[in-house]
Amino acid sequence: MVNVRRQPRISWEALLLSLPALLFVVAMFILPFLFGLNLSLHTGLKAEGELTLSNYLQFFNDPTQSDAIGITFQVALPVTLFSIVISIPLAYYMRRGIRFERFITTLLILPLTLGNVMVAQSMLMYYGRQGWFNQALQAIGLIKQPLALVHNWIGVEIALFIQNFPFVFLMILGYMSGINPDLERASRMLGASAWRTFWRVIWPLILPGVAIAFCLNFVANFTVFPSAVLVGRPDDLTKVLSIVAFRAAYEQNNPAYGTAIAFTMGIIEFLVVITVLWLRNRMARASVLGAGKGA
Amino acid sequence: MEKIKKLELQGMTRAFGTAKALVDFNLEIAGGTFVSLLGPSGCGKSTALNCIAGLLDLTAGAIILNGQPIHHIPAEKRGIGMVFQNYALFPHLNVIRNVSYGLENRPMPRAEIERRVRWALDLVHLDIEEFGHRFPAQLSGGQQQRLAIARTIALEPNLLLLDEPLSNLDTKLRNEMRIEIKNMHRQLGLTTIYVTHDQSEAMSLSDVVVVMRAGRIEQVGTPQAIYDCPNSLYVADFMGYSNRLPVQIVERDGDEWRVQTETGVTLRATSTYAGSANWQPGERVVAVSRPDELLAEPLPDTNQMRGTVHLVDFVGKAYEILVRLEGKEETQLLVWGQHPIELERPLSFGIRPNRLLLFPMDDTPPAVRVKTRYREPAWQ
Amino acid sequence: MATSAKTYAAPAAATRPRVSLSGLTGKILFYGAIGLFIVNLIAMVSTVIIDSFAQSWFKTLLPPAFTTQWYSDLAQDHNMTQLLENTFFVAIATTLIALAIGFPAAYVLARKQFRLKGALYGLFLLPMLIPPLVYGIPLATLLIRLGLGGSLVGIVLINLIPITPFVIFILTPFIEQVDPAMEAASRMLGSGRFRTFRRIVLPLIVPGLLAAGVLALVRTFAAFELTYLVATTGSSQTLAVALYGDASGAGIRAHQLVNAMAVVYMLSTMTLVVIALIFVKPTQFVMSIKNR
Repeated sequence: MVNVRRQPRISWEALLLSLPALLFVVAMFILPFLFGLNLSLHTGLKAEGELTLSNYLQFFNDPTQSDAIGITFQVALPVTLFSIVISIPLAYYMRRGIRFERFITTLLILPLTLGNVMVAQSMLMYYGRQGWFNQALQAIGLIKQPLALVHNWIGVEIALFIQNFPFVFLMILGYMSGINPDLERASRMLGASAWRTFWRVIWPLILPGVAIAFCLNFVANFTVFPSAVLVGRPDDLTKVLSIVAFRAAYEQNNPAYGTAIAFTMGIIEFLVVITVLWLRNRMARASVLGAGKGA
Repeated sequence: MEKIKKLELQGMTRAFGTAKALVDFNLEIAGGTFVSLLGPSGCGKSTALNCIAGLLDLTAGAIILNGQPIHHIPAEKRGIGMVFQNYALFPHLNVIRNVSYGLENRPMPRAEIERRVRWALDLVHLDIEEFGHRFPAQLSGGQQQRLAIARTIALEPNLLLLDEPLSNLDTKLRNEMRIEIKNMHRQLGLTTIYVTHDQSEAMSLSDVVVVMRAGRIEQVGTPQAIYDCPNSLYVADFMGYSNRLPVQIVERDGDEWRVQTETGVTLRATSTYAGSANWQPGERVVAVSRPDELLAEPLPDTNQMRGTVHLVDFVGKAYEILVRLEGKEETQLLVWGQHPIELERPLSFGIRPNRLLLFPMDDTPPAVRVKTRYREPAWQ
Repeated sequence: MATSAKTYAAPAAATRPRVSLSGLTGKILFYGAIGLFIVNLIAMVSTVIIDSFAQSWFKTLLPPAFTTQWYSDLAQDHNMTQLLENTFFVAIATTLIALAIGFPAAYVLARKQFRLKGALYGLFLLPMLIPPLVYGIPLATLLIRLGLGGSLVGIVLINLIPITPFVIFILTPFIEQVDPAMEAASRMLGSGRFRTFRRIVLPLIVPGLLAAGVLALVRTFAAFELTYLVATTGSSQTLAVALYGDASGAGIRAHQLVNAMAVVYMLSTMTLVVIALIFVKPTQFVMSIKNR
C-alpha cells in the first residue's frame, strides 16, 4: 500500500493568489492605521517621546471642540432614523415587485452617482431662499416666508438624506423581498391581519437587516464632510467632527491632533454600532418570547 | 487510450481533516465490466469516484491500471472520461465546441476532430445538423445528458465514470437513458464505474454491484447475488427487505434455523450473514423479508403466520397489505396478495424458509451518514 | 418547477389587498413619496443647469436672460483638459489595479475552503466598514510624508483602499456562480489548470469583471473625500475636488460659475453611469456588502 502525500493544512495556492490583495490591505490600511494610532498618541510633529493621551484629552477638555460630538449626533441621528423609518413601508409596498421597479431603482441611484458636492451645490440653488422649492411652497400658499433650508443643520440633513436614502432603501428592499411570501400567506390563513402579520412575522425577520442598515447609514451620516461645509454652517451650527478633524490636521497643521479626533469619531461610531447590535439581539429575543405561539 | 485489462483499487482512503469519507476501498475490476457503486448520500461513493478520476488526492492507497500506478498522475492526464451529475456543460460553447473541447487538447488534425465529433454525436443520437450550433441552455434535459456523454466518449477514454447521471431526469427519460447507456456499454465495451443511490438502476445496468456504507464497501457481487443474498441488515434494507420481525434462535437444523417469534410462533429461516455460525440458542436476531415474497396465499410446507389487515394498497402487480401481527399488534408487516381484502379481517400469510433471512439485531440502521461538512466542493 | 411558479402567481393576486381604500391609499402614498423624491431631485439638478446659463437670476421662476459666458470663463479659470485627464487617469488606474489584485483574492474566497478564510474575509471587509475620514487622515498624512502628497500616484493609492475590497466583494458571487464542476469537467477532458482557466473560467467571469470594473470606475470618478485629503489644489486636482474648491470658496466666485463647473462634472459622471448601466443592474451600484 503506497502512502500518498497528505492533504496540506495551509493551501499554498490560496495564499499565493490572495497575497497581492492581502499585502495591499496590510500595507495600505493596517499599517497606516497603526501609524495613525501612534501619531495620535504623541504630541508635536515628530511622534517621538512617550505615549500620551494629551491629544485626546485636549479635545475633550476644549468645549469648542468637543461640542462637535453633540452637533454631529444632532445631524446624523435624525436623518438615519428618518431614512430607516421611511424605507420600511416603501420597501414593504415593493416587496413583491411592482411595475416600474427597474425604472424607480435607476432613478434612485442618480444621487449616488452625482456625488456629494454636486448634491450640495444644487441644494443651494434649489432650496435657497429664492429657490424653486420655496417659490413653489409660497405659490401654493403653504408658507408666507421662505424657509431657511440651507446653511444650517436642516440643509445638511437633507443633503445626507438625498445621498444615502437610496442605499438604505435598496438594502432594506433586499431584505424585505428575501422573505418567503409563503410565510405571509400562512400567517393570513391562520387569521392574522396584515398589521399583525407585519409585526409578528415580517418585522422579526427583517430586524437583523434593518439593524445593519441602520449601522451602515449612521456611520455614513456621522462622517459627513463636504455637505456640512457647503450647505451647513461649518463654523458653528454644523461644526461636525470630520470638519474639526480636518481643520486640525490641515489648517492647524497638527496631524497628530487631527488623527486623534478622527479616531475618536471612529470609536464613537463603533460604540453606537455595538449598542445597536446589542439592542437588536434583545429585541429579537423579546419578539420570539412574546410571540406566544411562536413567530 | 489502451483498453483496460485490469483496474485495481487498493486500499483507497480519503480523509478530510479528521472526517473519513472513504476507508480502505479494495476492488479489482476486469476490463469491460460495468460496476455500480450503490448507497445512500454520504456513503462515500462519489468520493471514491472522484479519487479514481484524480479530482481528489488519495490520503492513502493506490490505483493501478494495467499494472501501472496512476494515482500520482494529475486528472487531466489520466485519460479517464467523466460525466457529472449536473452535466457541467460549458454554457458559452455550442454543442459541437463542447464535444470538440477535449479533442482540441490533443495534437489532432482538424479533420480527425470533426470526424470524432460526428461519431460521438451520432452515438448518442444527437443530430449534428439540427443541434450542432445550439447552446446547452437550448437543449432539453435529456439532450443535455446525451451531450455530456458525447463530450466524454469523443475522447475514447479507457474508463468511463458516471456520477448519478440520471438523477435529474423524470421517470420516463430516466428509463430511456438507462437503456441507451446499457446499449452504449454493449457497443463500446468500455469499463464503466457508475455511482447511484437508486438500486433498481444499479441492478439493471451493472455486471457488478458494490454496496457502500459510511465510506466502506459493505458487499460486492452480481446484482442477482446481492438481491437474493444480502450479507447484512444494511444491504438487505437497501435492497427492499423492508419487513422486520424480531425472533429468538431455537436451534440449528442443517442449513436452516428454527426460530420463535415473540408471540410463540415457530418459523424456519436461513441466514446469509457471515457470523451466523456463532449463533447460540436463545440469541435474539431479526428476520427480514421482502413484501413481494411474504405472500397472502401461503403455500403448504412454508412458514405460516396470522394477523389482521390494517391497510390495503394497490401497487399494480398485487395488493400490498399492511398486516398487524396476531398477538403483537405493534409489529406490522407488508404482505403481497393477489386479491383485495377487507380491513380488520384476519389473514394468514407465509414465506419460504430460504427467503426469510436472519441478521443480528444490533446492526445500526441504514443511511448512516458520515458528517458531510466537506461536501462542496467535492474536488479542489 | 413550472407549476410552483404558477401557484405563486395566483394566490398573490388574491391575497394582495384588493382595490379597497387601504390599497388605493397605499398606492398613492407610495408613488407620491417616490415621485416627490424624484421630482425634487430632477428639479435640483435642473436649477443648476439653468443657472449656469443665466445672466443673473433672482426670485423669478426662470432667469430673464441667458448666456454662455460662464463656460468660457470656466475654461479660463481651470485647465479643464488637465482636470478631466487627471480624473480619468485616477479612475482607470485605480480600477485596473483593483481588478488585478482583487480578482485572485475573489477567486480564493469563492472557491477555496481553508482555515483562515473567515479572517481573510474580515480583513477585506474592514476598509469598507470603517468610514474613509477615520482612516483617511492618518493615511493621507503618511502619504504626504512619503512625498506623495498632491501627486496622482498618491490619489490612486488612497482610493485603492476602499475600491479593492469593493471589487473583491462584487466579483466573489460572480465566481461562485460558475459551477466548479465545470472546471473539473474541463480537467477530465484533458485541460490543465491554465488552459481550464483561460478557456472556461475566464469567459464565464467576464461579465463579473466588467460589472466590477465599471462600478469601480464610476465610484472612483466621483470620489471626493479621500482624494481631497491627498490633493487639495495643484496640478493633480480631480474634477470633484476642483468643484468643491469652487463651491467652498465663499463669495469669491459667482454662483453661476460654480454651477457651470458642476454641470461639466455632472455630464461626465452621467455619461459614465449611462455606459455603466449597459453592463450592470441599478441595484448593483449600492451593493457593497452582502450580509454573511
